[in-house]
Amino acid sequence: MDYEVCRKVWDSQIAAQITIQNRDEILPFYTMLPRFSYFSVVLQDILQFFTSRDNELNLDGEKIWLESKGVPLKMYIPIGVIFDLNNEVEGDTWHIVIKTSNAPSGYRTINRETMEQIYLQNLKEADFLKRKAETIQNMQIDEHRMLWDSICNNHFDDFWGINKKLMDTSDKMFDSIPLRVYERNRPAFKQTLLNPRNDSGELVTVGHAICQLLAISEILPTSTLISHGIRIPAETPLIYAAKNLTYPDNFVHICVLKND
Amino acid sequence: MEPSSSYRLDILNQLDAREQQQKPIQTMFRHYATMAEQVKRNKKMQSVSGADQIAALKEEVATVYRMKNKNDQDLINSNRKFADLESKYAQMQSQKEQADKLAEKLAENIERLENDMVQLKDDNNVVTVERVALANACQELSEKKTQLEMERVQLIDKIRELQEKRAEFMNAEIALQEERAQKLLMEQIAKAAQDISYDERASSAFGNSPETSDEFMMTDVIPNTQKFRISAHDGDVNDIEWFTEDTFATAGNDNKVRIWSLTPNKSGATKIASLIGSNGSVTRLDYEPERRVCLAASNDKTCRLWNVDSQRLLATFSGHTDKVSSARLHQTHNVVSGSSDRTIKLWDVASLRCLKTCMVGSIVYDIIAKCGGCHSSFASGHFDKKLRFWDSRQNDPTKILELDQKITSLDIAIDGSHLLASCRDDTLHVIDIRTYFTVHTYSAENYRTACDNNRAIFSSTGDYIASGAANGSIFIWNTKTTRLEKVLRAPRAPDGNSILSLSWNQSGRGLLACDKQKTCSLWR
Repeated sequence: MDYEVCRKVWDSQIAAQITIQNRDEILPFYTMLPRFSYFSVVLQDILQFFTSRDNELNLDGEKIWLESKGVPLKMYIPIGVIFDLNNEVEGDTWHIVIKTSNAPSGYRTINRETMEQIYLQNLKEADFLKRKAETIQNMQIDEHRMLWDSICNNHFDDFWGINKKLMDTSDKMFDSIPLRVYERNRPAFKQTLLNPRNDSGELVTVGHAICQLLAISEILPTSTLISHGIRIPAETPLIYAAKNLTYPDNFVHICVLKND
Repeated sequence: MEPSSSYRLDILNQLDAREQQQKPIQTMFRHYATMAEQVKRNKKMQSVSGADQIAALKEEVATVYRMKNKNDQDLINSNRKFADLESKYAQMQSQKEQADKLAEKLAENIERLENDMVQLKDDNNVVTVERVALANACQELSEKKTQLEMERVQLIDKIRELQEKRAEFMNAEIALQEERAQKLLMEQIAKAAQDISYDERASSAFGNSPETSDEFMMTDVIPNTQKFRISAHDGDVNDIEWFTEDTFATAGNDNKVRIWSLTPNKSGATKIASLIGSNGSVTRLDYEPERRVCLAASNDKTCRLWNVDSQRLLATFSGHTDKVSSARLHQTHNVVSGSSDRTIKLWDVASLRCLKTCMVGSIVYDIIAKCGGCHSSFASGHFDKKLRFWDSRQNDPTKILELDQKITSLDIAIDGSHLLASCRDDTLHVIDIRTYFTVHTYSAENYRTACDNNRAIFSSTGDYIASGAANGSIFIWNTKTTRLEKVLRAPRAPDGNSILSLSWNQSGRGLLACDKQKTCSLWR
């Protein structure tokens, strides 16, 4: 594990300005949102902030939905991924509106417990891809809970203490790399089995993997690969990315943005 | 593994740049968060403090209210206490006024008392002076008294001496008399020894009386004249009885029985002795010649027995609850007595015990003891007009005879078969004991029974009966002819001199009468 990179990746944050729909008299909430967390997790704190500000404000955690620039925000995708997907400019503060009106159809408000389950599911999927889920199945429930708690409470050391086991390739190489590719304006991500090494034994690069995924010949210079808010060089080995540039669910989420 | 490849460097640089870029905003947001936190805290503190203040103020208000309550309560208590104290004070004031008045009065009293005391002291002085004077007088008088006492003692001594002398004289005289009597006795004995032609019957008569021996007869001679009249007692003379031919006894209301002796010429009687011991007037006498004892029934509820010669009181029979009206010697060692307590008692002389008490039911006026052929029979006369004949061995009367009026006295003739009963209806009845028939009833024109105790008698032979009347005369009837033979009237005898009792001399001559005028008289 590349400590420096992992650490910086974990500490990445987004400046956010949160307001409430139709309540302009309430001063907005300014906060730094951690990229690796989920809206389901931070929403509680945001709401608590607002209610402490104004006791009469009654925001039901089950009924509200989040929107930015008119786009509903998915709660089950890491915050960093959503930001990268929706925003072009890195330096701006993200305007998020808490909407109390009816959510659009298909929108699911996820609470924290459900998010935990989704997270663990993703984690198991990633480990299955990597080594047929041997490691995660050998892990105890306490360790799963600790992983989730360290995400909720921003404990880097606790998290990587357990995550190390999932990233261990001293024994043998991963079978395949968990990678999800997002494209703007595309609803879902793309995912496929990707070998860390190609036939000739060389490490597969990220650009190569994405080409393989998107079925394109090469990465055009107009497209940028964004993950964690930074441009990932195409020649980064996939295995390197899998170990150091993953989100807590052990997936590498990359957004392909076209520079128009 | 840390490859120093370019891609890594590229990534690192981007991450660093981004971090730097975000730093100000991060700082700003941090400050914002802190400020928000501060605002929140302030608000909480304010609200908290506000709430705290309110709570504190509320508590204060509560405490203030409580204190106010307490103060109000205290005020009320104080007011009440004050009212109490005021009333007490008023009370005290009035008491003080009263006390002042009292003090004034007491001061006055003290003044008055002091004055009195001064006066009393003066009086005391005066009295002391008087006392001293009186003490002196007293002393003088006591000296006189001692003197007089000494004189008295001297006089008493003298009296004693004189009395002793008198006693000596009396003794001497008695001795002389005794000598004389002895001499006489010796002479009589000598004479009697010479004269052996004495009649047996005469010698069986009481004593030896040479003077009357030639006059002795067994026939009754009706007396004519009063030979003498002597004052016998200090009160009524209730009974009179011949002891011997020359001696008789009188019983009087002065509680004494006097024994008299006839003077040789029968013209007087001298008192030989007095039998004393009775505490009430003596009502009836009885005489026992063999043992020379005299039995007297008395109003002091007793019968007494004296020895005539020694004048000693031999016996007192007490047991009756009322005056004893009559007592007789019976069967040589018994006494039968009848009393106003309606009983007849039979006594034993030796043991002085009452052997029998017969409840008769009527006041006993007289008893006669030697009636009938049987020695143990006696008769009694009663208030209820009945004459009862008794046998001392039985409790009930053997015969009851009823007469017309209460029976005042009984007498039995020397033959023992005729009974004389004197009745209050001024009659005398002679009853034959054997047949219980009234032989004859005697009465006379002027004859009035003297009193309830009037005693009528047979003559010594039974030929005559005599009774004293209320007017002082003695009526004598002849039993054979049943006619009034004689009325004896004393010369110069005052009327109303009731004759209470009679006694006919055993020799037949000499009738003694005693009366209410304290005298007794002899008729021959």
